[in-house]
Amino acid sequence: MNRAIEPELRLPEKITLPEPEIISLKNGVKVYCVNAGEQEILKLEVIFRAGEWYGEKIALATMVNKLMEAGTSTKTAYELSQAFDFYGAYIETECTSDVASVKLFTLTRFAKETFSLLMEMLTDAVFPEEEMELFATQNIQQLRINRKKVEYLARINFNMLLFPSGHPYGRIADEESYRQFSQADLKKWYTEKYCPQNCIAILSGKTDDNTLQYLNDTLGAWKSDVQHPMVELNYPSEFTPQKSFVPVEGAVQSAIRIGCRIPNKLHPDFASLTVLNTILGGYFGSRLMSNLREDKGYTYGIGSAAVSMVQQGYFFITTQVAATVKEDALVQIYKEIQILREQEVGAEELQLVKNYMIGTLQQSMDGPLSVADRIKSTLIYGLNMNYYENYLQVIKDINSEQLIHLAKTYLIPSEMVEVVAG
Amino acid sequence: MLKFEKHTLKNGLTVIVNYDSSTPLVAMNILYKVGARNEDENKTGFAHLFEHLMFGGSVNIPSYDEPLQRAGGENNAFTNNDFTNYYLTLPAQNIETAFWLESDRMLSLAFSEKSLDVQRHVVVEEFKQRYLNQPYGDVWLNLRPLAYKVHPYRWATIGKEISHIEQATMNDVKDFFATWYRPDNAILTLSGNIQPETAFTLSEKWFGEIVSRPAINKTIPQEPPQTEKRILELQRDVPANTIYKAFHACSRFDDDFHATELLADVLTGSKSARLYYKLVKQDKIFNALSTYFTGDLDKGLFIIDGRLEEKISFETAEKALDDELAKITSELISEKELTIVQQKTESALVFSEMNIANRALNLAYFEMIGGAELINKQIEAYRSVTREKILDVAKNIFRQENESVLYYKTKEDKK
Repeated sequence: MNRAIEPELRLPEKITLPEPEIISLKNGVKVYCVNAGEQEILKLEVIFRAGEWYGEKIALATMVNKLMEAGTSTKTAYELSQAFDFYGAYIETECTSDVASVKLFTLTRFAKETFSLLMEMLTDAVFPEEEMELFATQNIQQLRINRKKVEYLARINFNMLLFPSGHPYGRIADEESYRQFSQADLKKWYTEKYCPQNCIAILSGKTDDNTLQYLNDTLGAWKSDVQHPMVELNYPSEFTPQKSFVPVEGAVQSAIRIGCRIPNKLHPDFASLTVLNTILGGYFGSRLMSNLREDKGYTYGIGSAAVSMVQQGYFFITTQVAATVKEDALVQIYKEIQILREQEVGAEELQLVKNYMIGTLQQSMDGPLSVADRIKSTLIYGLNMNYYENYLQVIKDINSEQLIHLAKTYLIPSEMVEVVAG
Repeated sequence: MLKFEKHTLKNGLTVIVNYDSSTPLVAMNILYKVGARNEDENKTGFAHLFEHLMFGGSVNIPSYDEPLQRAGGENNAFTNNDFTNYYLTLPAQNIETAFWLESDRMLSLAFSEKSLDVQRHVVVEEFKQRYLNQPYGDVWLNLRPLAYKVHPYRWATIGKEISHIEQATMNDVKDFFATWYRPDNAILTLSGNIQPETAFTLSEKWFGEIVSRPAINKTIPQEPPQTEKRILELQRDVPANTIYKAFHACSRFDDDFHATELLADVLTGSKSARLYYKLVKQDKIFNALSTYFTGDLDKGLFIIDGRLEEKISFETAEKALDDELAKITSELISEKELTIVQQKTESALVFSEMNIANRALNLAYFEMIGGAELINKQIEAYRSVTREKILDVAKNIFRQENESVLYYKTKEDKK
């Protein structure tokens, strides 16, 4: 046996994209079902168009989302938490810029009880003032801790420069943000945004004969007269490319963040941009990792990402480097961008990246809960699972000329925002 | 019930396979029974540094990552005080690539000077990023040597100090490899779309010829019982005063293990847990409060970690904690509290079995602590814990002479 010879490889010819079953509950709420897996568990995620984007001021969307757990007209926060605990169930709330959601994780045998509890949260939350105050003090203290982190400082300053002038993606909460709303403000948002007209649900895991009935008796029985007002907000699309330095006394490392806006998933170039991003900084063997970590030992890690959000995409590079080498780190980062713009990616490297991306796409669909996450990340754009079929094709087909063209079009150093903190 | 098959090669390597045809993937996990507790006190951080070097090329293969990525795979590793764990996931049809890569680095490393030099720098930056340039980042660097005076748990996995990493030599690396990276000191597990027979055949083919080296018996000095309360005060540029209480507790092998884990959940496992509810929500003493049990192979620590509300003094905060600890050591918890923590633990265990990488890791972990079959006995073990047992465990842990306290103060705090 010759250990120097690599075993033969075969790539998956096709990736099986699980098709969710789409069910309409009796009140019209659409539920995407992924019934699979061996374990007798369920995840129910109810998603609302109620992210930070839709709020005129920062933090209202998040506060309502988080404080739905803080008690209903018949249960205190303590009693509500204990009620879920009693069935071993978990609630997770999530509020991003684009959407807000509530996730329930439960053993299948407790679906009936826990679905009812979830509905109490969705329909009968009361937002006690005491809980609002606790939320404020906890978040303010966390904010103060974050401000001591170079990574945080680089991130918020980057976001503010890339999305200026009150753009929701660039708004940063300060200490006042959490105390500017009344209980009435929260209730108004809750009533308007958390209603059956404004939601979709994804059910994943192992259902049984009764699960859908329970869902119809709870989520499907939800009625609301609210005319859901779809706010059309317009924010400036311009930003000024610039370099910014945030001094941090005594920092032994500097955090660097560099990037620009790019189109999002709705644009045909986005899928190709994720390939370009992978080559540059999207995996362990990426050019940035190979150069700044594996060759020079400047950092514990460096990465980049092509991020899609519903209103806009953006690209960024992030790292924390020894404070003494930050100048050269910047030189190396721009050098790697320049190489992408000028030189064709070699065939071997491109093939490796393609194989890696196909493998990770397959991994990201493994198991019903993961499939549910993939469904969510297309649904909120109004896309469906075909998106991944197309995505797979883009990865397979892309060539080095297209990559140079993409880099020249989108990764323009003089049009980027650069922030160094520390 | 997780099904698996087990086979041990002649060189002592244990192989365990969980077959699942519903996935197109396979996860492979290799656990080496060596961690920071096996380090020399003058060469701390070495197990973790060594983990980095495992990616610097092996005797016949210049790069570990490249072929794996080409096979559509992804991998990572972690080191803790007790063991070092390497894991990867890839499309099932390419599983032989994983056997090829993992067996070659068990056979021998390339021992490249360049890799050692670079990884020393990388780990020093990791040290700075995670422990120095981070609010509260140095807590464990200080809490460990306060609670442990003898046992190697007194240093963190990253090491006692940066100089230990900077001074690591190639000879140290070779010695460490020869001593610990032996087939009989490792557990290989697979979960996913691979039949046990196939996995065993491939294990024989790739790992079978690796010669086992003699085991070196190095005994780990055990911590003597603590006899008086220890106190440490630190002042740092952080926004909030924080208190850390560390109590000596049992080991993973002890009969008290499951009750100790449940005790931590009873105190702060959810928003309705008694300590959290009383001291965060009701009395507003703390802004954040958690308790956890390290559950290490040797006797571990039970930690209480509380961030104080702005106007609360350390004295008030500690008194409030001690009052609650007095209750849990003198009265039985309610039936409902017990049901809740048992039910939550059960569902957490079931959820953790959804993922093939988790399954492979869990099988390896339980094999290390006494046999993979233990994986299917955990729910029962938590269910059989009684209220009386939790009271006993609490009494045994929460004693003043068993306690180390770290007052982590803001720069502004004068007292």
